[in-house]
Amino acid sequence: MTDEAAVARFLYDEAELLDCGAYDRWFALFTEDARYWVPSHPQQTDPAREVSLFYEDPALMHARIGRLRHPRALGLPVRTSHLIGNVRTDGNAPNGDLVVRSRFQMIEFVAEEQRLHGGAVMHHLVADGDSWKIRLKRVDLANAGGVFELLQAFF
Amino acid sequence: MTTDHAIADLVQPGRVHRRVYTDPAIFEHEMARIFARAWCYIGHESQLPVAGSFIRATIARRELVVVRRENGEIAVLHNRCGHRGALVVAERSGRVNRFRCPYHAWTFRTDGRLQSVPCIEGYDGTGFDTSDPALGMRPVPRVAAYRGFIFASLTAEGVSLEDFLGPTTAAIDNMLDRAPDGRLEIAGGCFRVRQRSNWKIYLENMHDGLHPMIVHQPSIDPAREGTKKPPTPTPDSAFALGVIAANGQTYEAMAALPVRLFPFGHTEMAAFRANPATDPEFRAYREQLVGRHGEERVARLLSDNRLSTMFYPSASVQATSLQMRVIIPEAVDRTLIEVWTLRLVGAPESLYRRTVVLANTAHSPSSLIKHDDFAIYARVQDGMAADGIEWIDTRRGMNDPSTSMSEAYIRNQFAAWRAYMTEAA
Repeated sequence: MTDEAAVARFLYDEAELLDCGAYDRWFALFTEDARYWVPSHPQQTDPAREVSLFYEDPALMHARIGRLRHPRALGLPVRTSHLIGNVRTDGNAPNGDLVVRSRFQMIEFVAEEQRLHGGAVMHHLVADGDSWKIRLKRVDLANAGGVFELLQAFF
Repeated sequence: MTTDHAIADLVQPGRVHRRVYTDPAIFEHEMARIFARAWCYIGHESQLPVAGSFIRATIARRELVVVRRENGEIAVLHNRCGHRGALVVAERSGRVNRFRCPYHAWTFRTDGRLQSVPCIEGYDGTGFDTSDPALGMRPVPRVAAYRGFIFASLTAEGVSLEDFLGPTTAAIDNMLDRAPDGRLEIAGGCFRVRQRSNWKIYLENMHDGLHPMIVHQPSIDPAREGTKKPPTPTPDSAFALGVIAANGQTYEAMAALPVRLFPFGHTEMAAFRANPATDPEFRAYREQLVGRHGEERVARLLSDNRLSTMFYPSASVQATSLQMRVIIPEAVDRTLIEVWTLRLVGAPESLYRRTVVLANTAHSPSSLIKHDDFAIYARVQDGMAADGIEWIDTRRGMNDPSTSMSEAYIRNQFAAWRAYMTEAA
């Protein structure tokens, strides 16, 4: 059985990179075939047949990072602060990836206003030396299906 | 209260007064005189597949429920109990045999008539009559559909839906003609995105061909880079990056994009991109259409590119990319946009997949494009908030009303605005 403490530490480190704005190092945690997915409702199973709040491969994640750094991007900067909890491993995906479930809360400070996001996260992790890479990060927001203002930051 | 004369003066040749975007009293007038009078888009028949199917909708802030009746007709009812005024339906959509108010269990037929009232003896001697329409969920005065697209008007008198829509129906015709089964359906869920700006600011950006290469530079630059450098995009994300990068057209290219102006404030803008697909699946789909319409007509159907067609003031359809946007004003400085995707029934799955990717790219709350748009709308709203500097200029392209580099479509919207707002109630 995988050491849950080590997995939790990996998730904390991942969140810390986002909160520090170390987007390149965060991006480097993902595999080349990774997906970053925030479904539009909790039961969504197919990103091709229903709209998603985010559904990004590395090329689109990279473009988002490019915009977050662009000197002319409007309504920035955005600062985030994650709390990660309830981390537990949940067996293996059919392809052998380690499935990790957690909960998060994220404060987002943007456009002179503080907002609160939260929900369930599922990571699919691939062993990479003595650590992991992320093949899938699925974020099910507690308010998926509701009304949103803009979502610029990664959860 | 603001007089009609004073309202008429807010819109002048080449300029409008900032109060049209910032004054809550003007906003109240707009709800009563524009949104309550116009034909407003409220949904698509595919969302009401069987008797009892319903969806919620909003016109002029009034909560409505759109329901398929047992006889197949569509009723649009005020979502309001005839007793204490509670919202009867809280779900965005669903199916019922009858509506039931959760407060005192009054029930209503799908045509809105009151069906039953518990403890009705309590009304003895009061003249209470369950057949009184005022006690039901009241129907709105007018409902009509154009080929599946349902519109309603809160006013009994006025032009017919077809006369109202005029030449904009060609956009709907074009979508239906591109569907191998001749049918469209709403599919794939919905985005509901709130912006902190007046509803008109959104509509006034819709055909603005000057802003994309300026406002969208922060997404154009990384999208262009992304098409050239690793990480290598999937076909879907290459398409998405192409959509984002397409905002980087030159002023000259934008000046070549026609914008057409229609009565009642409606407008239409041609699209940037030609239909690019050449894959075998698309060729098979094209053959299907040729079998239905003939080669000449299909060539025209597929080259007839529309970026957006506006059904002023309530909706805009992007016919080529199969997106429907519904404009729901909430307050003078707050607007809800609903984005729905349309599926061509019988067309290959890959086409609908593109529609979903486009919705994610261009209309999601996470859209790299929308971030900069919405930030600008909020800045316009904030910049106009205080008095002292009163006028907003609308003269660009005064002598060249036919392209996206002209503000003619804004002037066309304001001509309709002024007519609605000053026409006697």
